[in-house]
Amino acid sequence: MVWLKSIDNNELRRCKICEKELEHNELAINEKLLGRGLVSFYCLDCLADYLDSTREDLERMTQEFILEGCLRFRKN
Amino acid sequence: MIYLDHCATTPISATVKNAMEPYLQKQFGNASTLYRLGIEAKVVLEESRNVIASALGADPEEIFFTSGGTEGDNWVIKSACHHNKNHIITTAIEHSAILSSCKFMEEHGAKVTYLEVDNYGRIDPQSVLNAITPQTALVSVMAMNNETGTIEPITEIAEICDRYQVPFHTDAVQAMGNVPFDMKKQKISYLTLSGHKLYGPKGIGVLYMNRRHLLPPFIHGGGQESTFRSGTENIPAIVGMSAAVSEITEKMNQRNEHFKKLREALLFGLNDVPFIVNGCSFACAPHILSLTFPGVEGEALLHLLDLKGVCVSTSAACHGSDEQPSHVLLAMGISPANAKSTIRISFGEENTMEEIGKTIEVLKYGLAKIHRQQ
Repeated sequence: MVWLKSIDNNELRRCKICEKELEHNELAINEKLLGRGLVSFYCLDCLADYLDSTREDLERMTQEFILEGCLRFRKN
Repeated sequence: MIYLDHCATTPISATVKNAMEPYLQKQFGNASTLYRLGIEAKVVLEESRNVIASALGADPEEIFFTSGGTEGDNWVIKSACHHNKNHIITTAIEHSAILSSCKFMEEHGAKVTYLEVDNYGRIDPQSVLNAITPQTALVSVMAMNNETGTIEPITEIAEICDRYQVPFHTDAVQAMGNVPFDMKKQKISYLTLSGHKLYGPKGIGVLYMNRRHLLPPFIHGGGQESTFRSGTENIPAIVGMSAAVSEITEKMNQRNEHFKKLREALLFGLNDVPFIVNGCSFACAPHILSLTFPGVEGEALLHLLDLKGVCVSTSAACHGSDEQPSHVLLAMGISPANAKSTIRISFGEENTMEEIGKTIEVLKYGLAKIHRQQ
């Protein structure tokens, strides 16, 4: 699927700030909020910092996207 | 929260809520029953019909309550063909309630012509004239586009249809309350309305049918709505719809002036950002703004705005791989990339200049955050 191009190869990815190993839904929320085709990603905490938001807000959004049925995310 | 998606739905106004309230509990009668409680429901049903007829310049007998815009559109499209008349003319920019019904009709043997629009999203009335054949059963053109706000020349198109004795339908779901209608002067055969776009309740709509062009019943049952649309009448919603139509028609000029100011303020506030306004500058609804930010994914921008409490929409909601650019924007000759870089802002009467200022700030924040990653 086109929208998974940058995150579908199971390649190990790390946060571009803190180098934490990233989970699938962290990659997905990066693409959802910053657009497709990203080459580098943030972990949830660093993304929250970058967006002047909170980890809780991003976790809530992730759950909402999963409930909506957005295929970019994986159910836990 | 700043709500800027009034084309999607509107909150119920205080006037509408107050009008509906007695019919939710105390006056809950079924309008088909013969005792006082039912007769009172029947009276208020007919009063509501009169109010809507008066707002449209129609006769009360030409007003039929439905479950919403989608039902009205389905009723007209699926009932218009008969005998050797099996050709429908519509446009490429209609709401999916029209386009999906037309597709259904094609699958059942009808021929459908989808007229193209110009770069402003406008239909040329001459193209309607050119498409009419002796088999044409119906022409359906929306009054105002829900994605761009472009106002279609429906009065001219209706005149052409009348000249060739072809019934004309308009989906006026977005237009009601923003442009005036007069069924006695305009040669419109059918017109569809929806309650929740007018600060009324969800689940209620109206189909106006000119008495010379009555369609067969669409839902069969107990014979309500003069046998044309069976099902126990939803009295609270009908009262709400009537109050909403009355209020929005009365406030039309005042609302449009307010929207023009909000629109100008928003566009002025974004003047240091590259963007394109889609639609028609000379015939457009002041409350709808379709904005393309080239190179920025519209859906990402929408979610960043949501994160900061501002609700707007893109034309394509994300369902994963099913995501498609807007058929309306593509029909206007906008590239798929730019169509996907588009958001729609639609104002409501409760929006303030202060909210527009905050929205400009949040839009610039979102654009900067996305651009910095590219």
